[in-house]
Formats: sequence, structure tokens, C-alpha cells
Amino acid sequence: MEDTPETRKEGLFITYKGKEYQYNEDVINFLCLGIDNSTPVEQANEIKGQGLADAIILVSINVESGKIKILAVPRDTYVPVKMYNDQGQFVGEKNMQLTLQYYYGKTAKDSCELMVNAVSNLLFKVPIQRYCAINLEAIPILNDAIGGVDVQVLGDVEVSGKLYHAGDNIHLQGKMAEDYIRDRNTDEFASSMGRLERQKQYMTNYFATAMAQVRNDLTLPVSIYQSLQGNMYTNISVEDITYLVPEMLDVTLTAEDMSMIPGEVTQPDDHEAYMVDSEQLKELVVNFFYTEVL
Amino acid sequence: MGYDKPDHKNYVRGRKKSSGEIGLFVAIIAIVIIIAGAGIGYYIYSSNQEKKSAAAEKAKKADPEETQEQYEKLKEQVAVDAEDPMFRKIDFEAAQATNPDVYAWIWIPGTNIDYPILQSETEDDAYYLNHTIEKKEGLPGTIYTEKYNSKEFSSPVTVVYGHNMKNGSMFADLHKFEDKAFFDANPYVYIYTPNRTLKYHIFSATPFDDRYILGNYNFTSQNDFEKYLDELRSTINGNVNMNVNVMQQTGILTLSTCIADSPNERFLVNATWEE
Repeated sequence: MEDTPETRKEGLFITYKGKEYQYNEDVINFLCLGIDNSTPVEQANEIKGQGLADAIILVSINVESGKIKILAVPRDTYVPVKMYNDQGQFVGEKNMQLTLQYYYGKTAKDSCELMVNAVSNLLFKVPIQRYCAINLEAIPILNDAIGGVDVQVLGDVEVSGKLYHAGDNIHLQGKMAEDYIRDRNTDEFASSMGRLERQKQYMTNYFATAMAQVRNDLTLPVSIYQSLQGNMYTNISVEDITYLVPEMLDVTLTAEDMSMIPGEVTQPDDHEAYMVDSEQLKELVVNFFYTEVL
Repeated sequence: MGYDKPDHKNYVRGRKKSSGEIGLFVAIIAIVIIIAGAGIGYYIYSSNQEKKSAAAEKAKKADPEETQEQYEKLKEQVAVDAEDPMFRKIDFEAAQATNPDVYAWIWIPGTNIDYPILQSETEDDAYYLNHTIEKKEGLPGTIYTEKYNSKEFSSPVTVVYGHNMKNGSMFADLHKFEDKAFFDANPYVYIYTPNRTLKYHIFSATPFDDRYILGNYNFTSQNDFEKYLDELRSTINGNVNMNVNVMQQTGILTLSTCIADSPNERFLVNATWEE
């Protein structure tokens, strides 16, 4: 009954389908949020609402094996959203699109923490150690810091007022990057899912380009970090980056390392909702974050 | 005749002597018999006493089967069923005649769980873990709450405890909620108090660690309440109904029992007040 180290096993254990699993302690989880709010993230405190979390991505870095995995969480994922009033008082909870949870923070910090909690709850309490929220202004900065990103278009997409079709090659620079990962035809059902595919593709290509650049210049991540000040809110420190960069020099990111929360798009009201298939999600979480205890 | 005299004398003396010896012998026998008799008597007496106290001991020791039979009788005596569980009546005066610590009744349709709930104001909080409704020591204990919880079920979180009995009595049937189909088909818990009937909607059935729930959180704090709620719902190996809206105002009723092969875990069925 006592909570002594002798009676309580160290670490996080779960029993799933009769087997025991241990959470992999070598993994650090980063919640990366793309915020739809074009004012600087830190100034957003003064205006009502923090904006919405348009892109929600969990980046898991295994510092021991140097492997990286990415889990995309659709913005419309239906979860219990905790609601707060302007004074920061809790007023209740409602099943809504995850993207809305960001709005209920009084400050960028509150919003990020609410998102961390909501995503951790969704993933059956997987610990999320770091978060990073960037707004739209940050995208061209990030994109151009590595000299732009090449993509082969997946499906019809409008970039800088020009329509591209599947198979077209584009070298994304400046605002083009933002257009590419944000374009969405709201008249089209489940259009945010096609956008999610583009975001995954952009990330993979960005990562490959960035890694090549970083191998030439190890200080690049820190200078990008510094260039994002004003358009980023994070609890990742420069120390974290300088610790992680050498660990990750040989890391590659392929499509297999990227997964998405399983589920399906429905339309319960005016807005689309992404209903999670919780049995499939359990399977994914166990495979993603845990190792079987033998 | 010189022989005669002494003989006679001897005889007389002998007689006298021998009669004296016999008297002594008889006395000794008598004493032995008395002592032995007393001894046997005492032995019989004391063994009777032992039997009596063993019987008294036995009467004080709890027996799960017997207790369950008594519960069945009590139920017949105090519960008046109705088509709608909300209109079921419990005669608390009659139930309290068995034990005045009876203050509520719990019924979960679809299970064997249909028992009085006890709370002791004077005894240690763990008393009813190990004492029956008749205050006999041992299993199956009773279904009980601790004094930190209001007897009006107005606490933000009320934890009700019951043993996971091998014979299927007490809270053993909570384990039925491990099955998703059963969980979906049996969503309600009814609590009867002398003043009202409360209907609770089950939103989570999950294994949980063995931390002392009421000691680990301050449930009057919104934060702690939300934290506990999140933990109950973010279960990878339990069942959850996300469509039940759980608020601090509607509270959480946590029903807690053991897991047979996992002493460091509990199995919790959690519900929130609906009407």
C-alpha cells in the first residue's frame, strides 16, 4: 500500500490486452502547434482568445536510439475541451474540436499547457515534456532559414494565387510555404485531411533539407530558434537544442515514421469533427510509446 | 492361653487398628474421589466453557456465505421494488435496526450489487473493510464510505469500497464492467438515501493504481477534480463513455474493489449524478 520504491515499480507501466508494457523513458515528446493568429504569439495575450491550433503534431525523439517519430493529430479531433472565461475561471467541459482548446488559454503559456493536457489525455496519458507554438509568421522564416523546401504536389493546391496539380514540382520560398501547408477548400468535405497530407509531406522534406544544412552548420538550429522570437512560444530552451542537435545528426525521417490518429471525419453540426477510433488508437499508442515487459 | 490374649488383644487391636486404617483409606479414597470428581467436574465445566466461548468466538467471526444469506433476507425485508428503479423504496429504519451505521443503499441493475452502504462515525475508517454489517470481524466486510465523504452524497468525489469476493458477492460484480458490451448495456447506478434517490451515469471502468484517492487530491479544487477525471477517462485498458458530461457539480461516484492477481491495483467504476 505504501508508495515506496520497493513496492512501486519505477516508470510508467500499462497492461494492454493481458500483456504488460513499460513506457519508453528514452523518448522525449514535443508538442508542436501551428497557431492560426497572425499577431505575435506573445502579444496575443492582450486580445481576446489565443487563436486556434491549426496544426497539431507530436514529435517523439528517442535520445538513445536517435530515432524520431511524428504523430499528426487532426485539428478537428473530437475531445473534451476545457472551457475558461475571460478571468481564467473554469466554466465547464464540452466535446469539441481539439483546435478550440488553444483558444481557452488566458496566455500563450496557458493555451499551450491546455493543449499538452488535451493531447496527453487523448493518448492515454502519454507524458509530453515540451511544447512549441509558432504562428503563421514563423513559417516563411523557418522555410527560408534552410534555403526553401522542394515539394512534389500531391493534389490540387493554390500557392501564391496559382493553382498547382498533382505531380507538379515547386520550390517553396517565403509565403509560398505557408500557402502550401494551409490551403484548404472549406467547401470540400474533409478538406483538412488533404491539407494534413501536405503538412506531413512538407515536414518530411523540410526535415531532410534541414538535416543536410545542420550537418554543415551545427549552430543553425540555435539561430533559427532565435530568429523565431516573437512568433514562437515554447518551453524548449537553447540548452535543450544544443543537447539534442548532436544526438540527431544521423536521424532520417521517412513517411513510415509518421502516423496519424486513426478515426474518421464526420459532420455533427456546421463544422467537421474527426471521431477517433479508440481501439485502433490504443494499438497505435502501445506500439509507438511502449515496449513489452518480458 | 497366653497366645489368646495377645491374639485377642491383637485381634481387638487389630480390628481397631484395621478399622482405623480402613477409615483412613475410605477418607483418602473419598478425598481422591472428591478431588478427581472436582477435577473432572472442573474439566467438564471448563471444557463446556471453552465450547461456549468457541461458539461465542464463532458467532463473532464473519462467514461470507452466511453474511450473503443475511443480506438476501435483509433485502426482502427492507426493499420494495418498483418498475422504475427511481421509485424503489428502502425501509431505512428496518435496515438500521441491524446496524445504525447503514445510511444509504446501492443498486446496480445487471449485477448482484444491491447492498446497504455503511459509514462509521466512531471507528477507524478501515473498520468496515474487515467487519460485517453485524460487526463480525472478517470477510466480506461491508460496502462502506469513509467519514471524509458526506452521507448526503454531496462531496465532489465519493469513494465507495467493497471487497472483490470469490463467491461473487459484495463488489465482485464491478469486474463485469471490464466487458465493453456489458459496460454499454448497464450504464446506471442507483443510490438510495432516507431522503432521496440518486441516479448515476457510468462513464469509466478502469484499473487504477492503489493510491489513496481521497488523500491524494483535494477535490474541492477544480484543478484536482479535472485531473482525477482526466485520469479516469484516459485509460488504455478500461472502458470509457466520453458522451457523459462530468462536472464538479454532478460529482464523481467512484466504486472501488480489488483485482485478484494484482495487489497494487484497484478496479474502479466511475459514475456521475444524472438525476
